[in-house]
Amino acid sequence: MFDLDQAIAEWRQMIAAGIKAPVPLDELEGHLRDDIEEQMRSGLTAPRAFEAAVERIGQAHALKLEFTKAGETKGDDMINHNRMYSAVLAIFTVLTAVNAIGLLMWQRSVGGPIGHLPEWTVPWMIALNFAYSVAMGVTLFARRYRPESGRRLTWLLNWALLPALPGGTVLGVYGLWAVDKEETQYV
Amino acid sequence: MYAWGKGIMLAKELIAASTEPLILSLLEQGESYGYALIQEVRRLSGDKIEWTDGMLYPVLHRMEENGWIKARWVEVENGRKRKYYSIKKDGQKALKEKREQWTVLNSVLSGLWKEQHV
Repeated sequence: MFDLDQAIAEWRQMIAAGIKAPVPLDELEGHLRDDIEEQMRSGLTAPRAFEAAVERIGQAHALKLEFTKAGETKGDDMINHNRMYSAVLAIFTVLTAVNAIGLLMWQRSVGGPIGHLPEWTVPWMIALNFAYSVAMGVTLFARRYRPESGRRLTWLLNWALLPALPGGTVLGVYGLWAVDKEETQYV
Repeated sequence: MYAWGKGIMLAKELIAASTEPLILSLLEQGESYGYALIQEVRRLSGDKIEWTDGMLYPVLHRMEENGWIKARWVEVENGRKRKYYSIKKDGQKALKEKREQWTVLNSVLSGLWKEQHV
């Protein structure tokens, strides 16, 4: 059974993954749906109407060219917050992983409390660092390869980062403020 | 942006040059959205100007950045949203200029071709 919403969702993912320039996904989806409705009114079945509409709006490759061409004049002088965020996220992923491994090795070899923190907090700090590292790694992976889920995960991660003083808080606030804004999407 | 017609084919350069005046002129009649603009141009030109769908949006966005037009999201039937564009003051100014240029071109060519036919 053909599921139109599913087909459109897949089409969106394909476009988002194939284009590196900012693309108004919501606007393009609206266009696609208008076209499909029009085709179906004139008697085409849903799958046929979908196929025809996708062909008309241009395959990922052709759309990519159009948006890359149009994007050339702008974007050079603009900070790409999404890319910047991903880069910082990658650094944080590595840092927290290193931190967790370092703490684990220290606990095994030296042991005892760290500074004025009681000893029982050490395993928690290790677990927390590992958890953040995995969460950030997964989000980073999703942003690259599953843009739709990546956006949702990013949003969740940013809130989860807020209590992680000080770096996590800064990254969380930055993410909530500047990343994945409007309907444009950077991959 | 390219176009083809029944019998005649508009040159790519001509289509590219006329896209902005066409959009501005259509938006001067009232706000509209991408899909409707494409349909309207197709209808008015008797299918001789057919904008490729994917091409229109980068042009609209560029015009929005220029401050010629502005956009707003409008909720339409069954919870869907549509991005409507409308013309701004600077857009009207730009349209006036383009109109003068096209009018000059049109009258010169019309005059020349009239002489030929007489």
